[in-house]
Amino acid sequence: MIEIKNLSFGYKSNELLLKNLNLIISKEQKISIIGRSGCGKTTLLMLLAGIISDYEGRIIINNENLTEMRSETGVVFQNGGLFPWKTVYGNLALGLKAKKVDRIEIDRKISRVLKDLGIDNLKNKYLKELSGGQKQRVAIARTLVLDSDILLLDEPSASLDAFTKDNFQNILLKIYNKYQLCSVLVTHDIEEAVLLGQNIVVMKDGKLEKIIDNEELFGKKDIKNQISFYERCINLRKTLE
Amino acid sequence: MKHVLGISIVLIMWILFAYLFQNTIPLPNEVFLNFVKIFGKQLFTPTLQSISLLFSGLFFSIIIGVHLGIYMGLSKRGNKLLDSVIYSIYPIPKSALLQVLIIIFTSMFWMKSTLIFIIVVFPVIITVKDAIRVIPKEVFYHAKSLSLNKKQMYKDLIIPAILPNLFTTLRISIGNSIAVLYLSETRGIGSGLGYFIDSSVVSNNLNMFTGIFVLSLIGYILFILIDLIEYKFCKWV
Ligand SMILES: Nc1ncnc2c1ncn2[C@@H]1O[C@H](COP(=O)(O)OP(=O)(O)O)[C@@H](O)[C@H]1O
Ligand SMILES: [Mg+2]
Repeated sequence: MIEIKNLSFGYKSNELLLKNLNLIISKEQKISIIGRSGCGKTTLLMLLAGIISDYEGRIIINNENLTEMRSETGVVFQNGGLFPWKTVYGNLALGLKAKKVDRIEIDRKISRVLKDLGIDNLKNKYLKELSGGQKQRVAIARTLVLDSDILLLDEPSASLDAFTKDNFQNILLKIYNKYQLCSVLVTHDIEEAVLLGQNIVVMKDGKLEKIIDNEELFGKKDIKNQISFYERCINLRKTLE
Repeated sequence: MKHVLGISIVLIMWILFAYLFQNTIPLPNEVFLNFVKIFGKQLFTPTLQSISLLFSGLFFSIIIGVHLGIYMGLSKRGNKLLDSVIYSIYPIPKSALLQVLIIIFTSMFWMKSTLIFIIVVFPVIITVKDAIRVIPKEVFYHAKSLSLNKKQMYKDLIIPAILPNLFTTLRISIGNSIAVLYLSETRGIGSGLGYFIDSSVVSNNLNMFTGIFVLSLIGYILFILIDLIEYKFCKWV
């Protein structure tokens, strides 16, 4: 669970980028946050990840004040942030080795997660051999092997072409279903926000303007073939303007 | 394969020049025969001297250069402190320092080794520093979230990130350091292959070329060595 209370932050001391945000994301909730480029989405994720720490207000994770980065908070950075000098396996094993998990357990976990993401054939490949969509899946896998309870995604499909994007989003939905995660996905893509959020939070001028309940559409089969999906997209676009 | 091609081209050019300058440049086969003949005798000690000089110079410049480079790459303060110093020392023509080193050092070996060190260490520092600077910050964030210990930070992040550029710099540096090696070996109390080549100029033309051949061979073997290590450790590039 993530609780954001009166959160304010600015890179420059005289100018706030995020102004008095309040939001509660419950244990297994999946939300999407939508806002224009430069509105502070990445910054908000960096705050929730514990990477930026000189903020005002409170961020409470599972009833504890957030003071430093946690290995159970998985972050999928916009540009991946994977280690290019390691294979897919090496990237996934790194955190487990740091936690002194034994070798057999490491292999077991990695195999399972790679299979769930449909990339078990890439285990021994280096980053340079992967496509954009594959890299993003590895980045998600890297967080899942660590038994993460929170997943923060920064525009994970922004660099993908339309077909790869569809595929990636479906896999993400599958992961949402299978793993007990509290997930925050930020995006500037309206369809993605509707597709991947139980709740859609609209971010504007440094504030969280509106929360839209999207439960009835979230995770439904074939949703992109339904009128109601596009109605919601159109409404959301109006809100953003 | 690339070696076969390279060596063939060198040999062809060598033969061509040997025919052009018939009384000055010996043919490859003459040099090889002479190499086999004198390697165990006159050539052995100079070769050993040159190799140990080269290795000691390279060894210390890598060890110290990598450490300073990492320090500067990781710490803002370290960078501030050293950056201006390094950039102001770097353009000084180092080979001109030879005379100064001759006065300072009592040991000829360490004098010469220091000269190689001074030539190689700066590019190593700058390469390592810059390689660390371009590591995406997200990579560090992830490392931090895993609370990697110091040893893991070096083994899994810093060392692999600097290796490819370090190898490139070393290749360039080897060329430079062999040039200074020759220079330094002909000064002061001469030693090694440099002195061997220099002292054969008048007396024995064939020996001179054999000395040059051995010096080139050393450089060539070092190149191949770096290739092999790079192949082993930088598969990801
Ligand atoms: N490290 C930083 N230092 C100063 N300003 C920054 C930094 N990172 C981002 N900004 C500024 O903060 C604003 C929000 O950035 P960001 O959170 O990346 O927006 P978004 O992810 O929504 O596109 C932008 O105007 C950006 O220029
Ligand atoms: Mg962003």
